[in-house]
Amino acid sequence: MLLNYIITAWKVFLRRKFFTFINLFGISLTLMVLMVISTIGESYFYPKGPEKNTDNIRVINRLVLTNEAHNQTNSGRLGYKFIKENLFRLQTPELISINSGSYGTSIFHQGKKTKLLVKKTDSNFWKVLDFDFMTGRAYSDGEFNEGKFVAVVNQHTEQELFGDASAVGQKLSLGNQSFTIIGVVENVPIVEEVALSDIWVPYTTNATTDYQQETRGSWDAILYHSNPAILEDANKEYINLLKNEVILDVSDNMTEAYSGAYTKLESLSREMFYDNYSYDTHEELFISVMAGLVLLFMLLPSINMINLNVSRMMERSSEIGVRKAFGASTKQLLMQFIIESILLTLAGGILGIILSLLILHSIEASGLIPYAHFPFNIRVFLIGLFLILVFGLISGVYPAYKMSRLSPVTALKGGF
Amino acid sequence: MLTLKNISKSFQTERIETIALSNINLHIKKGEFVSVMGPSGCGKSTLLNIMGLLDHPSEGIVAVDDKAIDSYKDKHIARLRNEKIGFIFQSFHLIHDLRVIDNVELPLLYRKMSAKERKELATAALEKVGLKARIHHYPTQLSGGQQQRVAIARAIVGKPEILLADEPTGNLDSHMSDEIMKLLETLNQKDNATIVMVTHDEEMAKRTERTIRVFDGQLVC
Repeated sequence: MLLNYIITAWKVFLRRKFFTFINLFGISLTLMVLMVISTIGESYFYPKGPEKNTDNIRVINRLVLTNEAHNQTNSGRLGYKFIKENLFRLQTPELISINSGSYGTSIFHQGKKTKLLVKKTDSNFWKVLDFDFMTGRAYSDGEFNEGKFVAVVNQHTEQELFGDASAVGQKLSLGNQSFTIIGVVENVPIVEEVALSDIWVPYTTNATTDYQQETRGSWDAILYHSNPAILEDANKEYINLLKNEVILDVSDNMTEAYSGAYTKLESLSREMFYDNYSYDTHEELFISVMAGLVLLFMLLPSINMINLNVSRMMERSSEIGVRKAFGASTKQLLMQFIIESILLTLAGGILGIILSLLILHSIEASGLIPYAHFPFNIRVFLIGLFLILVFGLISGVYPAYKMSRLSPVTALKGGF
Repeated sequence: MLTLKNISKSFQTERIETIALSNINLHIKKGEFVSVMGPSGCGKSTLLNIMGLLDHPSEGIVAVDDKAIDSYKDKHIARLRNEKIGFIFQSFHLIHDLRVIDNVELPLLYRKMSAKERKELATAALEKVGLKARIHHYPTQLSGGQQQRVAIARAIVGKPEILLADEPTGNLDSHMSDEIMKLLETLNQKDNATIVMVTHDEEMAKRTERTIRVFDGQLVC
């Protein structure tokens, strides 16, 4: 019977070539967009680069300072002084790492100018994140404490500055300082913004110590614990500290501090539903809005397809009447139409997946997103498959139900 | 084999109720060739639809082989239609993108049967109506008379006990009508098929054993 359903479905598709094309076009385009978004989302929420231990880290990259009346507010990244006086008092994290945030700089090497990102970090940076070293090593606690002029670079920098030669042992000039490269790591995907840079050097090599006096600056902190469950407690401890024991610069007139140690999801939702005077990250709202948008995005073409399917009913009503007259039950017809709909969506879905892989591949190849890498991923594939089924059901079941319940007499007359 | 007891059928529209059939009592015996006549809109087709279990009466009982079917579920009624009844329509109702053989096979799709068996039975039915040579054609490649013969092959392929024909010659010229009528007569006489045929044509009705006349939703003798 199933084979018959499939053969009939195939014949219907061939019969209504334009309809089939429109349907396939709609489904594949919708799914392609969703697949591209979910692949990029997947690489953000489930990093494959140095942030692959994302469950073990939480990032503090935003601080809001305000006075009691909330009429004087400053927000931005953290200053070194604030970190030293407050963050370093936290007991829960196993490790705390801080870095300057990456900034662009031009490097002149052998007469060639190259624009690269530099990040100044501590030695914990290499312990809290999970970098893959191609050659060499990270700088040690000793080298960091002594302010040694050592640097780690990524593959891209090695290639740009030294071609096919190994970068390890080579000299690198940053401003007036000369660093010795001691390690080369794989390129960091742009979505992994905590780790992202082309060159990493110890911040103890800074020419001045002015930064040590700043409450606000351009610093990020990473809290690490080998047990992800405890990290939630670290955040609670941090928020508690901000509420009750925060040390702020008296001269600033600021009395309240709002911040948090965020997961990737929380960071994103806080960026979206920005609320200066709250510790809440609104991630439930974020998830609801995202789910709502995805549903809406799928619902619109689905409604379109329901319309197309229902109008197609008119053309097929005589066939429905004949099939019923010769013994097809409502259930058998329902199965027939659902299978038709699912096969069509499946074909559109496979097309959509292929298209999305092509698009992602061209995004990778174009260099539009630096160091983007979107490999075929079983989880994304399963999400895609799920989306296809939802899509197929949304757009197929109602018309199928309506078609199959048509009275044979009405159907034979060509109406419904 | 088919009995209608006190059958009434009315259609309710927004404002008015139209009575299509009123208090019909009818019994069709096995092997009979019955014609149903009456003016347009008198309820002939509604009567045929109720006999063919395509429509439900508003009141009364339809019995197939002395069993009342009013409590049967959709699945059971579908099976009865599949096994006991074959339909022939005025406008043939062939599915245009299926080949002749696939159209004829259609009732067998809803039975537990191998594809090979289906093909054999469909070929035999087409042979019976003289269209074996056309099995791979599509309906639109055939004349009206040939299309109606395909429809008859489809109606008889499952060896139903009763054939219900709703003006089977209504869309055909006199020569083709005669051809179809002869075919129905052969099926009735040789295969002992029970046939109920709605017609407007007095000449056709005369060729059947019994004529039922319907007027304003009622049987007139």
